Amino acid sequence: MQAVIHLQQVSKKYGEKQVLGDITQSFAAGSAIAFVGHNGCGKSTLLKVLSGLVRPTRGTVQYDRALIFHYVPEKFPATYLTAEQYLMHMGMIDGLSQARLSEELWKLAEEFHMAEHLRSRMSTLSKGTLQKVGVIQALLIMPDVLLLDEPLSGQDVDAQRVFVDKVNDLRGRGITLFMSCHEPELVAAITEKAYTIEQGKLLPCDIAVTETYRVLLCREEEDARQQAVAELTKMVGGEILPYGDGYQIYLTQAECDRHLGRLLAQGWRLRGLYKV
Amino acid sequence: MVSIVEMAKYRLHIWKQGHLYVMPLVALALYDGFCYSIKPAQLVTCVVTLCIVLFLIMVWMGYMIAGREDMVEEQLLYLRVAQKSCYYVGKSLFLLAVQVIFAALAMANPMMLYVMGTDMFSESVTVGELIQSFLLLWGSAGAGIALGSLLSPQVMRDRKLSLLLTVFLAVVSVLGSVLKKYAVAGWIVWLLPPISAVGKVYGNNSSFLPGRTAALWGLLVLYSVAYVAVRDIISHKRRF
Repeated sequence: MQAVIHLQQVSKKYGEKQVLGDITQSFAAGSAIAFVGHNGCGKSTLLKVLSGLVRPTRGTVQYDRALIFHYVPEKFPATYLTAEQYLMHMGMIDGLSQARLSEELWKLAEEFHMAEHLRSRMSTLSKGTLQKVGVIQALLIMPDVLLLDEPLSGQDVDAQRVFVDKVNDLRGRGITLFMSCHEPELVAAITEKAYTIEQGKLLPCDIAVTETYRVLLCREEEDARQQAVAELTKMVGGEILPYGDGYQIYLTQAECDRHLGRLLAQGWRLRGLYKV
Repeated sequence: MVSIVEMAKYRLHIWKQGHLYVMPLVALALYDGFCYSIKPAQLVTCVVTLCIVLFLIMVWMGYMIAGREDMVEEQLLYLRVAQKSCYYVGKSLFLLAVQVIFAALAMANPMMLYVMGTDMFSESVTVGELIQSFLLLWGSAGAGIALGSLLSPQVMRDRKLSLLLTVFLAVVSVLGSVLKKYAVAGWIVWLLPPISAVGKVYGNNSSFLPGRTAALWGLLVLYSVAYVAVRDIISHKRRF
């Protein structure tokens, strides 16, 4: 695929703090990339450098052609307008006709379960609803590049599902996507490649979701308990800690699949299974 | 082109809903009312003083508009257009609309008096003089709003310093004719809109002269365009 955005030795410093250091990377049109990492590592800064919102301190960002970016910021601002007025304006700036725009935005509002809030002033909307407005304004038309900065912040489960479906639909139509995110499930759901930012460097990372579960077990026969615990330790290899009148262990998804059946067959009782 | 006009419409809507115009409008209405309250009024004198007052009001308006800008909102608009010049032209078109609105409002009183055919004015007023009045008011409003919005958050992050500087520049602009006599201040006056020239040119005149009006209007427009260009160049260089 043809590369559309090129970073050449890009560095960004805020005062004395080096946020991005000497990044050289090209991104192909149609790719879906996630940037992961701890808070403050430079994910949002990298999104802004890619889009041209922020100038790098050193290095260059080049585009093969003039690109239209749509952006879902982490915290969507509340304007003096109603949500509908704001979205109508954004759609008109995008070049949509009034009739088509009205139809499209009401359709999106219904899908995101916020149609009843469309005629409310944005300053009165909750954080989650405001964020939905932020998502809808980015999806009114298909831009060249979609930037998502913690897009599901404050979103309910239904909205998250709709969002993932919409974004995957856009991916199917060839959009280029960049997302900064903490949730591994979201990264796995809508991107094909992930990078982590560590000490300013962009490093590829594995996006396979490794879920961990806290498993609560108990054993009724007191006399055989110590031996059972010793066998359990040998079987799973992790730390087994007392929890109430039972025990807790941490297992990955694969380990749960492998061990839980055997543990139940050996007389252990499952008292809780929680995703960490 | 569509996106430029739509961006300007969006900014106008925000400006209207945000009621940023209320206090400046009240100030304009008060002075305007005072100007034409004492018979007989001289159109030239009223317009000259109103130019200075309108200039200061629009500096205030421009400062408020710039100060109210939300960086995330601006980023969303900036990214929305492939040609970034559209973003800046849209911003300028909005400022143009605001200055025309206020200039038109400043002209409401003399227009009404002319249409009603009252004997408010000491000399008879012609359509040509009304047009020239509007041009001078428009030029003054434009220069004011351009100066007021010059030190926007993208240009100067320290808002206290930007306020102090804006006030200083506005005052120096108004006192320009006086300050030009002093060599130290003389050079800075050239960098500021020639609003005091309106008073200097028409201070002792009882009627407008098209050539002089056109020259004054042209100069005021030139300074407005220059300030907007400087602001946009710095903003584009610094980004967000």
